[in-house]
Amino acid sequence: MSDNSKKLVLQSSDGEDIVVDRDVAERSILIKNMVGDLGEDAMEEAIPIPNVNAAVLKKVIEWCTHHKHDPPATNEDDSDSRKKTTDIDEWDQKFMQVDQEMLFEIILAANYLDIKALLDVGCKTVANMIKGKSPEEIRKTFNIQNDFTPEEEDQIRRENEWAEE
Amino acid sequence: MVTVTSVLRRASAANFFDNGSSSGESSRRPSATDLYAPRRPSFAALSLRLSSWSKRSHLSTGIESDADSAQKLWDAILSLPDEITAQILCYLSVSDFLSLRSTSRSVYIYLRSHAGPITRSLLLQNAYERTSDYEGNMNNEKAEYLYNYLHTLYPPPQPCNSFDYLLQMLKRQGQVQRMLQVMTNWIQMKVYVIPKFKRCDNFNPYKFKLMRRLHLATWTMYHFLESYRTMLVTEHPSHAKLESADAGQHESNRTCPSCSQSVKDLLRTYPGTGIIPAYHFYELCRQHLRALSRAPSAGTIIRSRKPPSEADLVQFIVLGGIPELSKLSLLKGSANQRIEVIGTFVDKISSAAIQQRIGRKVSSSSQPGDLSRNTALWTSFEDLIAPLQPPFSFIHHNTISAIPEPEQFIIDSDEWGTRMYELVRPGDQIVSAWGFITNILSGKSEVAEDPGFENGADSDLDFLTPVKGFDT
Repeated sequence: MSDNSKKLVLQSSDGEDIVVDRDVAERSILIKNMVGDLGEDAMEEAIPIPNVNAAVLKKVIEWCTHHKHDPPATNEDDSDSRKKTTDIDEWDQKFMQVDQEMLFEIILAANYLDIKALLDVGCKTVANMIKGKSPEEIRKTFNIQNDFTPEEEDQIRRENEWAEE
Repeated sequence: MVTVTSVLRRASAANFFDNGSSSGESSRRPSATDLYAPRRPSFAALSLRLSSWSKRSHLSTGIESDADSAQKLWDAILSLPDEITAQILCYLSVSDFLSLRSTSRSVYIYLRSHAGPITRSLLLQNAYERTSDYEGNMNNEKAEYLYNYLHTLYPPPQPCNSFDYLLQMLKRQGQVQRMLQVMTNWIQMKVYVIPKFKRCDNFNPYKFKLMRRLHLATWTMYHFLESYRTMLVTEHPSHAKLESADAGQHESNRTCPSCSQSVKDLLRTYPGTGIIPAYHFYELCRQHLRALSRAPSAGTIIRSRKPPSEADLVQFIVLGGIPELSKLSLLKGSANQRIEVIGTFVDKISSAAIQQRIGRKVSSSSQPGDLSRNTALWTSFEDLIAPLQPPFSFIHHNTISAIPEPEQFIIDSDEWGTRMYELVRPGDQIVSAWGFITNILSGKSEVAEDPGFENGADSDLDFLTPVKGFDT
């Protein structure tokens, strides 16, 4: 039986060692599988996380700490059913109130560390930046240049109206 | 001993760098100043990890305009590994997706490259919305069942590299929903003829129940009518030629054996839980259409047209399908206007058949496969909508002569009758259309355990006798 009170040391890409409870670190399927494969050996030395710097890794650990008692992801969570809503838990919303650079770093780190729930929250946060906006508002938000020809724009408008009417 | 470092490096190579070129540079080691410097709301650092960023970002002076930041935000989304971008896009609703695809050519092309997952996600979202209960709770099994059912009725193209299929399915969904709305409103008006159904202040829960229960039935009937029309328009004229060559002189409107076989094959593709409710739904639609096309008897009415005959109505149903039925039902106006709409439709069919006979083409609809008007980006608008439109330009006089007699189309047809009784158990009796509605409203299938139904499918007990009354 695993001893969840033990600590693991994660080493960020910029060389910082971060001590973390094993059960917190094991929200990451990547780390969980590795610790499972290596057993006690994994506890002895720092685990390098070569693609995540310290600032991002600490944010990820903060999220994992808050969610350490969440039930583990099931196969059902992996299905598309989880994609039907972009509602985000209040704590997660506050957690994601970071600058855009950090937001994308967290998404990439969650993907790398295989923390599906965090990846979902990150993706939902980005999707919410697009949701509910008109084409013009989206162009403005993302500074997208409208490079359609008038004919193409007219066809898109007709197609959209036809599909929605 | 296997070291932690070597395991992680293997994992890193498999999970991270394979995700796309965008991530490859993220393992850089920033300087100490990077580490402790407060974060700016910019993408200067991210530009190093997202390879497709413009070189401008590297030349940033550190004071970035909102426009620069916005530009980088979009670039950042596009530069994420493909599966993450696809996941973000899959969270968008239909209206978000339609807005996003309207923003620019490059966004449009980018979205099209993810057409498969976006289509799946939006149709699945739709299935969840259509199967949630009155309190808004979602039901995974029912949603999956609906999604898979529609997927079977209308298989998506493989590979899915445009949004034509999605737009057509959204259009069909809208038409199905409108027809359901019309029919449940009509049932609400008629429901008081059901014995012991008590007038209630709030009919909405009942209406919701009807909408949910009749949803698959409406889709099934939509698909049946569409397939039947395609068969009569595109396949039957060649059956008719073969048969007349084989059999010489025969009456022109006898049942075509090839079409009859096609209908039998088609009916076998629908599950038992779908076909009988669809049959009842059709019967209700037919009653409703008759009511709509009947001119009021009171008073002196000046009419430009005679009310449509039963044969006109069946032509309207067969060649117009659910889209024309729902349009007619939503028409705000007098009975005269509805009569005019049906008459115009029937005239258009006759005219199309005459044009075919004298060898002229009807210009109102697009010819399939005509790519000359297609732009580089997409098929023409006419080609997109053509599969859902009455195919006037292809209607042959053989098509019209093969339209069954009103009483032999679905109701009292051998193909439907045989198939429905194949699906029920010996001794089971199928209720009438209004008996079915009574059973839905009284919640018969909700209180009874039905061991025979598939996961996610509705129970079949509500279309079998006995009819559950409202006094129990």
